[in-house]
Amino acid sequence: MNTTYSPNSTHRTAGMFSGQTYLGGVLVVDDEQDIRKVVRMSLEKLGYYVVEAEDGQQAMTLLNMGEHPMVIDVIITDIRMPNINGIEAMDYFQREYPSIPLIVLTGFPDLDLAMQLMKQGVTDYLVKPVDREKLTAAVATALAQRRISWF
Amino acid sequence: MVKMETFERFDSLSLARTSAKAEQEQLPIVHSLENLMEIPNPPPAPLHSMGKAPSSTPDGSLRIALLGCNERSHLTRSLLEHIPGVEMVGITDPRHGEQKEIQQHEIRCECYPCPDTLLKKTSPHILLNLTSETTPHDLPNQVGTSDIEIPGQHTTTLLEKFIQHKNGQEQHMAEIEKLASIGTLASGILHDINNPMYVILGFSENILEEMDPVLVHEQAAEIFQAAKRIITMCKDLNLFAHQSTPKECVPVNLTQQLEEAMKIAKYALGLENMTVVQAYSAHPNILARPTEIVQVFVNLIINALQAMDGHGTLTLGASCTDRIATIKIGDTGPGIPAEKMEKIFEPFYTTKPPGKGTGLGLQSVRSLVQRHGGEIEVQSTVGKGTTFHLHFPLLLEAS
Repeated sequence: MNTTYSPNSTHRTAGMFSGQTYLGGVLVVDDEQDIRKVVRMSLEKLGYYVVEAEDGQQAMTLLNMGEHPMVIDVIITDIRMPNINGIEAMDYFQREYPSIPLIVLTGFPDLDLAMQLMKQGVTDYLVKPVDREKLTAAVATALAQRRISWF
Repeated sequence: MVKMETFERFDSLSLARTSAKAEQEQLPIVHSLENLMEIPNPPPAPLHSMGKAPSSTPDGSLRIALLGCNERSHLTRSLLEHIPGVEMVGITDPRHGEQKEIQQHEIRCECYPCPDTLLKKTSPHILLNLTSETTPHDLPNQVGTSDIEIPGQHTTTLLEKFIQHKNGQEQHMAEIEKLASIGTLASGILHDINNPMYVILGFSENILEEMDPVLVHEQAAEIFQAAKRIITMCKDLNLFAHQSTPKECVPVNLTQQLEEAMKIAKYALGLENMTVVQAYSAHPNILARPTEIVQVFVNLIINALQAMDGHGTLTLGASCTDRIATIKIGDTGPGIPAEKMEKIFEPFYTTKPPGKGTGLGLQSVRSLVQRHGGEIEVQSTVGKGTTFHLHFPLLLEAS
């Protein structure tokens, strides 16, 4: 399924994906195009709307653009990236968009860093390779958090 | 990514020059040898010392000749030639004659038919008797009154054992350092392998449910590329992880080894925000053990990358003169303070936090460089960066 993003879209309904239930919007931040593609394909199958950014800088720009703050429900980010890395980007997201839950998806199985980030409010710390079930479960949990924060 | 502490700031220009020759200057022979072997208490004077103790040459090197061309002398010669400040000047070989050139190539030392010619042509400080005879029958009588020292059988055996022991220790240290380097690389390697592994896992999971053949093909192509990435990485690392073959020196191209080292070092720390400048004015060859040379370069490149903490310029340079090949590895990190410059080559000295450095890195690097007949020089300006210069004897085309 190919999804074309339109910045002017105000739809957040099931009608956005023909014949599928719309589950939410996810921003995937990773410097590797094939990783973003795996995440996108895995999530789109289920009915998520996915936006991609290749580093922290682009993610910030995207998030500040148009209606993205309203469309993005969850951010999945890598840590090691050029320009602005995942740690710096997450600091920014938590400061500017505290209601958007953050999931780390990284190649580093670093327990200390995972603990530190979870304490700082990151919803989950996933280590690649992660199977689709675990990824989608993490996104669903984060999304539930986001919904709670609306009330 | 884990942030690693490196060198502290200081405001002076520091230059530490470590020269194998400088270490040996002005030392009497026996003390020079003790120094080389790191013997805390000097052994008694050689039993068969003949004449007064000769002094070392003005450049500090000790000229050693060997009597006997056998397995024992080959081993001793091959170990002695790696000791800084020791010059192997000749060896006696009764087979000397028509096959002289072949023998010299095999033995890598000037061969002489008898002790008399050897002594006349080479004027050694020490003559080591490695033949089976207690006193070789063809040893000229005048040796007794000359400045040449001939250690007795037991002293010679002791010396051989010291050299072999020291050599074993150095190889062991090099292995420890290599393991430590692999530890440093581990998290970077995991990252770089986990990414394509995720691509393989994710797309294969999708393919299992995918009905559209075009999308199946597209994802299979991604899986193929990811698998190829992992294979390339394994090939890069294989060279580094492979057990070294310490006895074999082969012609080695230094810039090629520098490139190999870069492939490995990039796994340790990301190069995303790093500028790498390759300034090769030559592509010199030297006679060396390739794995050890790569290990030296990997250590120095990782140090440089850690010193810059993710941002800066790594400069790799290569040049050569008539006889010397020089490799330059420079960073734009905080530099090394003068008072620390003296300590950087000491074993177990480290500025890194616990678990991040063994303190064997530069000590091991220096040891490996010296084993290849080279020298290491450090130039550092606090606030501007540090550059390591490695000088090796150039492998001349004719040889």
